[in-house]
Amino acid sequence: MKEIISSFVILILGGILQGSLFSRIHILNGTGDVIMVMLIVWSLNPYTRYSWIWLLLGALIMTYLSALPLYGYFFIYGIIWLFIRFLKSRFWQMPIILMIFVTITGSIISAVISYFVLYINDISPNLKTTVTQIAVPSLVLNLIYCFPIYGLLNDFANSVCYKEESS
Amino acid sequence: MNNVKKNWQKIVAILIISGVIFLALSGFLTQSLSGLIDPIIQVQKWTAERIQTVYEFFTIPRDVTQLRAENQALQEQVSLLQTEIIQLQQDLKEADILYSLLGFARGRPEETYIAAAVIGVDPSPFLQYILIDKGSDDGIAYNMPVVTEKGLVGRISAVTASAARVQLITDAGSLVNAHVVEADADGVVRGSVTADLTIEMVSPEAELQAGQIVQTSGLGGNFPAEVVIGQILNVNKLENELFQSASIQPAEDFSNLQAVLVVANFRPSNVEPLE
Repeated sequence: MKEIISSFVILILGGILQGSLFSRIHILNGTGDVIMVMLIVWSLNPYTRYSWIWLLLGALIMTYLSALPLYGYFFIYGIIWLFIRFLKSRFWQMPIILMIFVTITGSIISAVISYFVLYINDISPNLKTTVTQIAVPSLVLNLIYCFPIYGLLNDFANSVCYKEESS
Repeated sequence: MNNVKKNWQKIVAILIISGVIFLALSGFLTQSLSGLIDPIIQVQKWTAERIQTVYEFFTIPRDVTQLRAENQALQEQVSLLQTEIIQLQQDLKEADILYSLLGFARGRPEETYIAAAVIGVDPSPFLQYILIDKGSDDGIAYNMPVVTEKGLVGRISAVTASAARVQLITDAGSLVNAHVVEADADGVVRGSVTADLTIEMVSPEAELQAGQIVQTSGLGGNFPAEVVIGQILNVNKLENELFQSASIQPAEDFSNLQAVLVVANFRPSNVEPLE
């Protein structure tokens, strides 16, 4: 129960920070996706049980904040969450390496789906510009964000979920 | 006579004292007195210094505690005043923005404006949208144009009861019919995923030059006419092309938007049935 309540609180705070702060921080035209990084960290933690709530609520918040059509964030976060579920059972002993790997993969998935969604909405951005000006800078920002978020959120998840599991 | 004989000693004493006082007041005893007083003053000084040292030994710790408390109180007061200064500076900044917006609104009395604060930016780096703190409860409706004192910002793309989403003119999906004043040429201003603005579909006969002002033409009925969009930066003109294009420097700095005006009495024309 504590995990569910804390998930709501953290995600809403994360959504507010994403919309008001992190979306304004740029490298070239790229911005970081803090909610995605939080979803990755929470899903990778061995004690969390309700990471699917993070997927649904995180995607819902981002869909509210963003004009990305066709519920793009449900696809992006859904694929990343399934990818983590697939990897977690195989490489769970190396959470930090797995987090870096999933952050890189998640950023690429996010860029590819965003590009595809824009493409089917009759907007065809230049591929080279998209990669150099948006996708790679966003990936770098996500990697910068992932370490402090891992440090904070993983410890918090351990303190909330490990006790809950043991009790 | 008997009294004088009886009290002669007292009379002599009074006369001597009076004489001494008279001599002292006249200055005749100064050197003699200083010789007598100086050692007393030295002793007084020595004693006073020792007493002061002893007094300080007992009282300074108390003063330090008192000074520390006073210092703490003053530091708190300084922090409070600094916070007030920051708050006042922010208020001043907001007031400046609002005065600018008010000036712009006064310059166009035919239009009704709703002022709104920018409360968020689209998290997707592929899209150029902002969130504002006014919604349908405040009279905001879909497709209303959004401006600032500097120029065109975009249009309302989604509305909730208390907030709205604005598609900036720099968004890749944004198209604005525009007019280059100095060249007397029409075109279409298009955004991009990198937030760059370009005016396209300009007749090759038009003499586009860097620095020329681009403003809305009002064609299509989506935006009011004569709202500044920006200035031409570079002209791309090829001999065999049907049209020429040019990159535009937007009049507004979209990365630092804080407040906007929604043109409330402008109803965009729906030309879809004619297409």
